[in-house]
Amino acid sequence: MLAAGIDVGSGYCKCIILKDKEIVGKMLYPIEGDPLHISKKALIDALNPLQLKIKQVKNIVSTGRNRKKIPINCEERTELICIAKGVHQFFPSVRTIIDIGAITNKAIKINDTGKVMEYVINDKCASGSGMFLELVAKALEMNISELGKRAISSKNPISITNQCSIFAESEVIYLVNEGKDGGDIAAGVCNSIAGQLYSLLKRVLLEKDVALSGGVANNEQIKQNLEERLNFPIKNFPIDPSYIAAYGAALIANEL
Amino acid sequence: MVTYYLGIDIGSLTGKAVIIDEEEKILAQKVIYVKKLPIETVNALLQDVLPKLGIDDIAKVTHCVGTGYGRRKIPLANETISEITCHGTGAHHLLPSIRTVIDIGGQDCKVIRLHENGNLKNFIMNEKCAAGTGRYLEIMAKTMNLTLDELGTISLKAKSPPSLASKCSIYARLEVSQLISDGIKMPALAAAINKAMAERVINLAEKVGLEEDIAVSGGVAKNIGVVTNMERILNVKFKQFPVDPQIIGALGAALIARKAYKKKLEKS
Repeated sequence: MLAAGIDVGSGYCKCIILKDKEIVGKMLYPIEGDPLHISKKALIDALNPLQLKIKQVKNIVSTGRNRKKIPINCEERTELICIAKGVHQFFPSVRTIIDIGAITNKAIKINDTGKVMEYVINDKCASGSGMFLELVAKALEMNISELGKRAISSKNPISITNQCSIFAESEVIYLVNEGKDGGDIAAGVCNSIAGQLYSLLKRVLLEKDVALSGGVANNEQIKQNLEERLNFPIKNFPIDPSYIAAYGAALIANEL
Repeated sequence: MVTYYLGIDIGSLTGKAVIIDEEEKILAQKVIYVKKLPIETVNALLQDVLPKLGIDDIAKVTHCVGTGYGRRKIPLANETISEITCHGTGAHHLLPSIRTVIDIGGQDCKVIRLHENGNLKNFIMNEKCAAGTGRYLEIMAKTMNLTLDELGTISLKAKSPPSLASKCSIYARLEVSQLISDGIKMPALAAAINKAMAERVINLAEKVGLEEDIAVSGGVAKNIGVVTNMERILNVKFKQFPVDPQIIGALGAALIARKAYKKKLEKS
């Protein structure tokens, strides 16, 4: 049986195709402007290599901030439920999740069945979010994965004083103009994001194990810095952590 | 001997220079966008203002005060003074009845309360969040593909502007993009942005209290939409500076330079 999950966020649209609970297809597209057609395109393009059409997929679940804006017949679930479902499937031992979205960070507590028990969302300010990282990467003239690599090899991270994404971007441009090393700036930025994630985590009753989801979780420096603050390791997903919510949505679709 | 007193205000977005004479008359002034490094901004300002006075040598400047975010990177400054003091001094000099100065800069917003004699009474400052600063308007104008001037002028044509839900500049950028694709007209959107900006500034101002007369300085003072909205919220009419509202800090610095030099002479 085929099921699909589509996570239409603020920055990216992610899509997972399951065949009998196994991931057989996936697609990730940036949302430039209109989430409406990009979500359909992501689904079509995820199915294409399998030589399948949308109508052959039995159930589809959409999630994410823009989940209501997709032109496909499907059920909707909140991101919180989908993230919890996806994480729990990989790691039943996880009790606390930090999800880093394009503009919104969340700390989610789940129980031993994967049910959401408590959560804290920062949805007022983009500080420490994916967009924060993207703005800074642009200022450093690096792509996101390059920024991660340069950061991890830095020996002298430069601390970034601004929390506001816009002001941090200016601060980074200033440091570049002063001739500071890009890797050292990148590491400072990653540590700043980890610090903000840690503050968010402290607002829920932290319980082991901990998982980090969302595209920013691919950044090794952020993950390591957060682990140092927590003093224990964070779980590593066997798939790109950008897809966790879409995967959870697909698992829910599979059970419909 | 002819005396020249120089005030330099290096902000996050623009650099300003003002030169006054012994009679506190403005001889030259200049506003430019900042260069990569503060020192480059200072040099560009000097290359503009000094020839206006027919002087070629910086040594002919009697005394210089630096202010603004980049004030510690002005090598020729005899001393550095905070923007708060400089704005207060400049505003009081031009309009002695002013008790509150709202300065909206490129990357901060300050509300300065003054005593009758122009001395600083109290102040509050937002330099933590881009919302409510010039940067917010810059980002919104860019999202709408307008210049900063247009953002002010076209907003006056709006009839019933929507309210923006977001405060954060990044969130507002997404919200505005969405409203554009929903077909909201540009004047209405511009008005919504100016209103949100005005509300944010007044929120900050109310924490320190507002006393009349009130004047607005900084680049955003030139945005008629924001200023009108602030006046409407407070139900007061602001006083207008008789000079470019962007040079108030630099003028204050020049005035302080003159005073400091006099004091030095008296001592020696």
